[in-house]
Amino acid sequence: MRNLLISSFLLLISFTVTAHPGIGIVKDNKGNIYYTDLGKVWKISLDGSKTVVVSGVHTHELYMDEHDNLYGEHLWYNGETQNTWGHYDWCLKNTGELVKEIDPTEGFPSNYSFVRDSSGNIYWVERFTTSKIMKKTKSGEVMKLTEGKFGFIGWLTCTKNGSLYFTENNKLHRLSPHGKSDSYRIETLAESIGSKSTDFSMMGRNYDSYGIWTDAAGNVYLAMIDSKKVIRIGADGNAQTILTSNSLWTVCSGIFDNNGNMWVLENSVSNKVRVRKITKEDLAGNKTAGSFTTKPHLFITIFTVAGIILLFLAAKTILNKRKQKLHHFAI
Amino acid sequence: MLYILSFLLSWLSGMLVILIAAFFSYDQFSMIDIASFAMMTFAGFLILFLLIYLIVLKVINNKIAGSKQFIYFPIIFSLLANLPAYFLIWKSMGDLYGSSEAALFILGFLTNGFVFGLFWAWKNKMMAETSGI
Repeated sequence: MRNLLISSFLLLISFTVTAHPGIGIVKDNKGNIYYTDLGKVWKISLDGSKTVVVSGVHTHELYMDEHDNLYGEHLWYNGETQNTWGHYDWCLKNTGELVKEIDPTEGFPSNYSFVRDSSGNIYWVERFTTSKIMKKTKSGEVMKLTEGKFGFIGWLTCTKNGSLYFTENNKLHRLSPHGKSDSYRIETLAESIGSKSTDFSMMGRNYDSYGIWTDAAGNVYLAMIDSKKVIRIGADGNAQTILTSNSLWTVCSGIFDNNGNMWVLENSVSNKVRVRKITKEDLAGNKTAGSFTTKPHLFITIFTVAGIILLFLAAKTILNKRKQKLHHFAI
Repeated sequence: MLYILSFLLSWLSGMLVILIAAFFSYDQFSMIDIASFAMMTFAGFLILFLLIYLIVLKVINNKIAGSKQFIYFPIIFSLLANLPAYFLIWKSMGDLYGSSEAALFILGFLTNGFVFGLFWAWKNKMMAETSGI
């Protein structure tokens, strides 16, 4: 009985759980936007046309260097028998040539990531009981920037000058070069940035914030994947909601183009991916672009009340008919 | 027919309480949440209904009579008949969902049992009034 119930629960919950969405959205020097849908990498040209530039790659992240070379990975699962993962890392050169940066290797990338500054330094997080944020210089030297007993550290993002932003549970931190070379300082920019949500929406995660990006003015933007909104954190540490998605889509990441428009990468309940452009006028006017077009919670509550009334009336009708029958026989 | 109606009425009432409680408990209650709660309470309550509620109803219908049914039926269904559900909700807490979701599930099942008990007490009263004629 218990197993049966637990199995039913697991079966049912499996319908509601979605995969791990990507955050890869980058731009080249001309202003073209590139993004991943976890199966292909798309390019949105300046004229708005969309083309696939790399296909058959499961990459969550992308990186565009200053010469417009695009980097990504391909991750795959080797099946339940082996229960192992494999990956290779690729680069789409600015000439259009696709090359493998790292050949197919078992496991996940190590000492490698797509979080890089303009000097070509690579940064990544090692998440353990004591987590570390690591750096690999262009010359190959690996160093530890910070370590500590952090909560869950989400995606890492890096500005051109090497300042790193990351969330730890519901806090936003900045790790930036400080004073002499190789010295880094960690600052907490904002606390309590998460929203109160159910474990179902959280998809087994213990955090709400997802992709992080910055603008030219130094504001930090966080995609709140569960509460389906984008918040902007200014220098004062105050969080302001600047965008919400409708109930079927959630913002996972974003980027600013050369004209100050914000492009957001969104993931749907059915794991579809799209990109939306939010013009700088909309952002300046603090318009909540594409705000909730439906309020499923409220509508379903109203429908439920209506359903209860209908069922009650149906039951009353049936009972009245039975009463009439009994009454008829009694007479 | 009345069994099906009482099942649906009780389940929907439980869902309504969950939906209303969610307005005060969460900042965001999406379609995923609603579908998860709906499917899990429906499956759980269906199993409970087929394996426990119908048997308990048969037993207590014969043992408890009159207006006492309005007190005892809701109590028996919402507390005693739901015990396996409460146990499973408590047992799965942490693995499948957190404590706030568990609280909503318990609230939902309490309502299911309460409404189911009231429904059958009301049904019995209506039929008894007719028989009295």
